[in-house]
Amino acid sequence: MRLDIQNARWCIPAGNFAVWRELNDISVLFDRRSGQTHLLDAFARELYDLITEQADTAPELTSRMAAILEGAVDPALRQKIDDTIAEFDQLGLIFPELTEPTL
Amino acid sequence: MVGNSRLIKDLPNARQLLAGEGLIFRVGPFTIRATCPFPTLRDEILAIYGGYPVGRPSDFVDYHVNVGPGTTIRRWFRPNVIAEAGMVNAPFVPLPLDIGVLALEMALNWLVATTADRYLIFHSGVVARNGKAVLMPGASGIGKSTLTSGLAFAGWRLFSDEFGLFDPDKTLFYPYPRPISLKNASTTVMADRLPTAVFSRPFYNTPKGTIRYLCPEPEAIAQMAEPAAPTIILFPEYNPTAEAQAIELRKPEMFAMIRSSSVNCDRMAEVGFKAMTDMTETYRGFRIIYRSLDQGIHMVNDLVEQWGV
Repeated sequence: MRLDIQNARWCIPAGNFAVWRELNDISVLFDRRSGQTHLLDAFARELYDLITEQADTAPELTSRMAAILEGAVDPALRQKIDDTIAEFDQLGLIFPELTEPTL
Repeated sequence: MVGNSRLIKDLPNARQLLAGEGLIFRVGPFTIRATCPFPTLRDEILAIYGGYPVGRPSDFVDYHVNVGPGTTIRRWFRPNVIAEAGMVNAPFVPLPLDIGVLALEMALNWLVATTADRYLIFHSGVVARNGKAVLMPGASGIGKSTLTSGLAFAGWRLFSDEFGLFDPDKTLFYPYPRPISLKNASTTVMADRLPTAVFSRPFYNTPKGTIRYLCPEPEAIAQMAEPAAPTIILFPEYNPTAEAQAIELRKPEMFAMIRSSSVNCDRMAEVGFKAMTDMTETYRGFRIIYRSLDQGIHMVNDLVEQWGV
C-alpha cells in the first residue's frame, strides 16, 4: 500500500550512510547502505537538506521551500515537492516517521 | 622484470605445455595458465600470445583456463570448444572449433571483469605516452578498438582495447595489453594500415561478425608492468557522416558516462565512487566524433596536448 505523502512526516534514515560530492550544480550522493549512486539537482538537494534539518510533512516542507525561494506556495511547487518526496521514498533516501496509531 | 622474461615464442615446449600441464604466461598484472587439447587451436593461441612472457611454475596463477571440447563426443564429431575456468555459473558457451580462440579471449574478459576487484575496471580503450594515460570508454562497436589500435601504432603505448584497470589507491592505470580484438570493417582497415604488424587469421561468423586479433607492439608487452597516471578522458565515436567535433562534457554528464562504463563500480562501492568523482573533478572529459581513423588520432593528440593534465 502506498503511503500518504501529504500526511506522513518524512525524515532521514539514521546513521552515516551518505557520501556527498558536488559536481557543478549537481550533488552526487553515494548511499553506503544500498551501494547506489544518485544525482540530485539543486532543488532536490535543497529539499533533502530541509528534511535533514528537520523531519516534516509535505505541506510543511512546501512552506519552508517557498520561504527559501521567496515565492508563494502554488500548486506547481506543491506537486514538485510531492514528486520529489515520492522519489526519495522509492530510493530509500527518506522514510515516514512512525507514529502511534490514533484510537 | 617483464622486459627480460622469456617469451612464449622462444619456448620450445610451449605446445606440449598447452596440451598437458598448462602454459603459464603473463598479461599485465595477471598470470594465466592455459590448457588446450586441440592441436590446431593450440597453434592459434600461440600465434597471438607468442610475444608474451612466460610465467614460472611457482608463480601464483590468477586464472586457469582450459579450452576444451564442449562434450566428450564433440572432441571428434563436429568439434566445438568451451572455456572452463573452475567457476560456477560462468556464462561460457560452446563455439565451433574454427573460432575456438574466441573462447579463450571471452573467458579472459569475463574472468577479469568479474574478479579483478583490486582495480576499478572500465570498459575502455587505454593508451599512454610519457607516463600519461588516456582513458577512452565506449560501448562495443563504437570504434574504440580501432582508435586504440591506431594510437597504439602511432607513438602511444597500448594498455588495453578492452579494459582500463585503475588502482584507486595509487591513482594509476595498469596495462593489460592483450591482443586487440578488431571487428568487421576495421580488420581490413588495420591490416592495410599495418602491413608489418602481427595479426591472427580472420575468424568468420563469430557472434560479433568477423574478428581478427592484432598483436601489440613488443614494447607494449615489454613495458606492461609500468603504470601511468590519467591525463584526460575521451568518449570516442566513429561516424563517417557526422561533423567531426570534440565536445567538452559537463562534470555531471562526465561522471554519469564514466560510471556507466565501469564494469565493477557496484562491487567497489565507496572506493569506486570516490575514485570516479575524483577522476571527474580532476580531469577534463570530451566526447569526440571523428570521420576517419587519422582524424581520430589527430584529435586525441591535440586534446591531450591542449588539455591533458
